[in-house]
Amino acid sequence: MDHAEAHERLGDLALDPARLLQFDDDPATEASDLRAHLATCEECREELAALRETDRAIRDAFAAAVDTGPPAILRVPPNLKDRVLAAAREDPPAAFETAAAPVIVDPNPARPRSTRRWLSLALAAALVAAIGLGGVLSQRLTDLGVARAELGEMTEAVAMLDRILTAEKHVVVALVTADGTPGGVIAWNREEVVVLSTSLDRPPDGREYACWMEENGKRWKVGSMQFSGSTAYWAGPLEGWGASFDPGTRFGVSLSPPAGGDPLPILVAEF
Amino acid sequence: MQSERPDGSGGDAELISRIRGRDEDALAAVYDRHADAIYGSLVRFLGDRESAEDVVQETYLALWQRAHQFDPRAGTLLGWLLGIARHKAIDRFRAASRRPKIVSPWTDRGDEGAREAPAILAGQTVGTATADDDPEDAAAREWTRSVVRTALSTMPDLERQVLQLAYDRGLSQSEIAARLGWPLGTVKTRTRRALASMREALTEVPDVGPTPNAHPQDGHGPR
Repeated sequence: MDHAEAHERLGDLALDPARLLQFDDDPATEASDLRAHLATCEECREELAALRETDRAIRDAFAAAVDTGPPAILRVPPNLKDRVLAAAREDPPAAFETAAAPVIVDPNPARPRSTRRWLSLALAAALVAAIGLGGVLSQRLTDLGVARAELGEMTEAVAMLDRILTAEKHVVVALVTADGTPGGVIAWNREEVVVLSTSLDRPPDGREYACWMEENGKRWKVGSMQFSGSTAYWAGPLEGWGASFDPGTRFGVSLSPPAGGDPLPILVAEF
Repeated sequence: MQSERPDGSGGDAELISRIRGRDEDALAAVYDRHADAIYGSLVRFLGDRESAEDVVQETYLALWQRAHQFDPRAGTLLGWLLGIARHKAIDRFRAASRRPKIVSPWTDRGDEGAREAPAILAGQTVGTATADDDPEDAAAREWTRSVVRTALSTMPDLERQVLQLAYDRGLSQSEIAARLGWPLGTVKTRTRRALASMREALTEVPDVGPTPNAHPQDGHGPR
C-alpha cells in the first residue's frame, strides 16, 4: 500500500466513527494492510491521531449535549460590530509603537525596513550600553576571572542575538514590569532564543530569576537568568522549551524560590 | 478559505494583509465572516451573552493589534481567532472560578449556551465532566464542546444530519444512505465536508487539532 492510498483509506475510515474506534482490532485484511503502512509512515500516524482527536471531540460534544436537536445558531447582536470597529479606531496605531505594549518585529519582509532598522539600532545601542556598564561593574568585582567568564558568556549571548536579528524570520517582544514599564526583550528565531534585561538586580544568595512559560494557568520553568555586570540574560536553543508563543501564552521572569506564596512575575511578555 | 469570496472581500490572506495596513474595512469583513462562529462558541462556553460580546470585542482587537502574527500558510484565520478567544474565555472562567460558586442566573434563559456552561462555572456536573475533574481540564473540554456545537449549528443541514446519524445514532455510512435514501457516495461526500468543517474549527484547540500558527518554522514562535 502506497502513501496516497493509505491517506485515502484513512479519510474513508474517519467517515465511520464505529470503524475508526475499532480499527486497531479490525481483523479485515485491508485494515491489516493499512496498519502495516502506518507502522512505517509517521505522517499517516499523525493523520490518524488527528482524525481520532476530531472524532473524540465530536463524540464528546454529542454525548454532553443537553438535547439531541440541532444546535441553535447564535448570532452576534447587531450593535457589536460598531463597538468592535469603534474600539479598533481608538486603538494606538500599532502595538510596536507603544512602549508598554509588546514590541513585535514582523517576520513579513513587506514591513517597512525603517521599522526593523530602528528596532535593531535601538537594541544594538541598548546592548552596547549594557555591555559597557557590565564592563565597568565587572572591574569592581574582586574575582576578575568570574567577571571575564561572565563577559565571555555575555558575548556569546550577544552573538546569538545578532544571529536572531539578522534571520529572515524573527520576533522580538518587549518584557514589561508589573507597572507596565519596559524592562527588557525576548527575541527568537527558528532555532534560538535570547532574553535580555537591564532592570534586574542580582538575586540574593540561594535564589535565582527563573524564566517560565505559562499557558492556561499552567506554568513551567524554561531556564534561569544569568548575569554579566548589571545585564541579566538567558540565551540558548529553543529545543527543550516545550513552549508555544500562541496568543494568550505568557513568558515571565520570577524570583525563585519565592519568599512565600506564588512567585510574582517581575517581568512578563504576553503573546 | 484563502480564495476570493463571491462578495469580493478577498481571502483570509488578503484581509490580513489589509488589516496590517490598518484597513478598517478589512477588519469589518473578517468580523462579518467569523464573528458568529466565535460568538456562538463563547456564549456556549461562558453561558453569558454579555461576557461573550466582550470577549468577541477583545478577540478582534487582538487581531487588529497582532495581525502580523498570523501566517495564512500555516492555518486558517477562524482557527487562529478561536484560539485567541479560547485563551480569553478560559481566563474569564479562571477568574470566575476564584469567586464564590453560585448557581447561574442564566439557566432559565432558554438558550443552549446558557444551559451548558454556567454549570461548569458553578462546579456542577456537565456532560462527561464531573465535579471531581480538574477545573482547568473541565474548562478546556467544555470549550471544545462549545466549538463543536457551534460548528454543528452553522454547517448546512444536510451535513449536520449525516454527522448526527453517525454520532448520535451510531449508524454506518451504508445505514445512513439507506435511512435517507441517498446514494452512498453522497453520504460520504457530505460527511467529508462536515468533518472538514469540524477540523477547521478545531485547528487551534489544544489536544485536538494541530497548532500550525505556533511553530517556529512559521516564524510565530518556539514550540
